[in-house]
Amino acid sequence: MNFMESFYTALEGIWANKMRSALTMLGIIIGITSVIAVTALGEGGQKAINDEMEKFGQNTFNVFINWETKEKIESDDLTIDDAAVLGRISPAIEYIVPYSGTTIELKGPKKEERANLTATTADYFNIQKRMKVTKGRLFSDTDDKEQRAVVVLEDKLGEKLFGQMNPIGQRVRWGNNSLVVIGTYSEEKFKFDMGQETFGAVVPIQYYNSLLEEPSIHSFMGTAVDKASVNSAMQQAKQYLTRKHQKNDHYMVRSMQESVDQFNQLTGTLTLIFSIIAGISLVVGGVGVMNIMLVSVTERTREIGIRKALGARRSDILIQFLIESIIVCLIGGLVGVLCGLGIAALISHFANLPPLLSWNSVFIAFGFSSAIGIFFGLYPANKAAKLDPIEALRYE
Amino acid sequence: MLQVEGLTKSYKTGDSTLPILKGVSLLVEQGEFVAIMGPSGSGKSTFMNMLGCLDRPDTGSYILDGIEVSSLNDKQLAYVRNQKIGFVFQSFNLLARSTSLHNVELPMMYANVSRSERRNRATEALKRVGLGERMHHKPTQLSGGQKQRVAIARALVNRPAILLADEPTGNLDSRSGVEIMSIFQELHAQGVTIILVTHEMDIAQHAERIVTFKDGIIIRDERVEERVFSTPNDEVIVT
Ligand SMILES: Nc1ncnc2c1ncn2[C@@H]1O[C@H](COP(=O)(O)OP(=O)(O)OP(=O)(O)O)[C@@H](O)[C@H]1O
Ligand SMILES: [Mg+2]
Repeated sequence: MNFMESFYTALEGIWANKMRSALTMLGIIIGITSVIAVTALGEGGQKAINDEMEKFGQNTFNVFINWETKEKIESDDLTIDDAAVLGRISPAIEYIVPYSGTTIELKGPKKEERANLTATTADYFNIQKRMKVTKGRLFSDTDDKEQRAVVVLEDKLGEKLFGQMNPIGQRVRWGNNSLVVIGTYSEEKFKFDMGQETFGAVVPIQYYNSLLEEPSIHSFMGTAVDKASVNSAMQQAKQYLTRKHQKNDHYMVRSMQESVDQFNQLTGTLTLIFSIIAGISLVVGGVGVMNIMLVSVTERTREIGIRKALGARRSDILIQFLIESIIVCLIGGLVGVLCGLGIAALISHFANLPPLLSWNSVFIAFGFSSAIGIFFGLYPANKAAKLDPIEALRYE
Repeated sequence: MLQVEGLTKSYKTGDSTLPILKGVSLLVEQGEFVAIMGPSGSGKSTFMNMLGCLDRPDTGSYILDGIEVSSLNDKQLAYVRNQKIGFVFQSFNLLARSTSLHNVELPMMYANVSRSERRNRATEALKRVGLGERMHHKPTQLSGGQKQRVAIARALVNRPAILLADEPTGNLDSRSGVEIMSIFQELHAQGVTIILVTHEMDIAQHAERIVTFKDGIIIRDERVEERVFSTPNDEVIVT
């Protein structure tokens, strides 16, 4: 019997037991659905992070004090001058700024609000490409050098502090200090900072330091001239600081790329673990297929006997049942892929991730379901093929 | 045509082996019409199953159409069943879910006959047994006699060397039985070799020769003196 005939015969077998075939498929559907949903979400998440990162600051890096150093940590380990010098002498570095951050209470005419305060230099706005001026202006190098008490507010913070009033030129109070609002900005958030409540305020770092008893700078934030130069930019920063401050392992550098890589590694591992768990349900589905196929073979013993009496070879019977189990698994696989992508789309819609159709996982799922069809169908099919014709015919 | 020599078969039940066929020898020539009779349990069906290559003998030789069948492997046996043998069962053994046409096409599917030729030959075979009007009926929609006629059409459709029938009229009323026998006689007249098992003398008398089994051996083998002839329209002619 040729392949097409076996195929039709198998389809007839499936159609004759619609309910049972559907239930058999269910196991495969659940397995494939979970595999597809998990991998699609995993890959979707990774892609989203990487896209964000492409948009904003794939060339950025940070310089910190190495917290594990044995050397004494002092407040002048990172200075404003260090950043300025590095920016001048290092060819790989495009911008580099000192950076300190803290949470403060700002008081406007309307009310008092919590704010994320960033103290830095003017170049900060060149590094943070996500920030756009909406009103007024950003502060300048002069504002910084003169230690002017000025602040640039995130526009939402401005609305909260001033209501409908134009905040530009108005004053806000931070403890005993009074600052002039010179501008507002909007910031395109990372897609993953969900529902953040506190908004930003940026002040010149020289002014900020002038308020402190013992000013110290948390870190530097920098960008390399291009993507390829990120590593040399970081090395140059680290070498310069180490030499300048006569230290050994005092400084630590880290690029955005490294953080993203680490995240990818983590999500990759998580995806793998969930896929394995989902894969187990696929195997359970496969055992279900085998179980039903065995029942089917027993139930159709007489049919097998008749076919053999009419000249069916072992291979004809084997192929008929094998195709049946493969078709069941493939249909289950197809439905599973659709369900899985549907679930992934639904979750990514609510989690604000871009949905991602992962062709890889679709092919793998189809490969898997046919493999399961063959693997778990082979034993029942072989059992059917080996039946003795006369005993099969006598079977009641 | 068909030559059996010293065929034996025994069945194991528990720890005792029960001999069923104790050395059966039989020669059937091309175009013969043989009836096998004998008491219940004498081994007739067992013998027919050997002839139909559905079961293997313990010892003895079986030559069918020049082929020594006892030396064949599984695949070759399937080929012999498909091409050389047409088997008609007492219980019809039709595929319950399939139409008459599909049932008759089945042996040709295993012979890789093309779709259109299959359709033509199956239609022709069904017409030959008078079922041209019942081609798209399923077995549940057919009477016993009609089912058996589908089974005969199916047995003939690959033009086998021999037609084997184990009590083909056993499940039928006498009128349908006579109809079936008229078909057998017509086939015989066209040159088909037929071996048929029956309990009823008037059925057996449709054949040319009666072989009688008892306790696993042949005790009698004689020509039929008073043959009965049936025609499709149910008249029984005795000569
Ligand atoms: N698979 C089997 N296992 C054990 N014994 C069997 C088996 N098949 C047949 N027999 C025995 O072989 C004997 C002959 O059986 P067989 O079916 O050949 O008889 P028969 O002549 O066709 O009888 P009937 O006229 O009733 O159909 C019986 O006693 C039966 O019990
Ligand atoms: Mg019998």
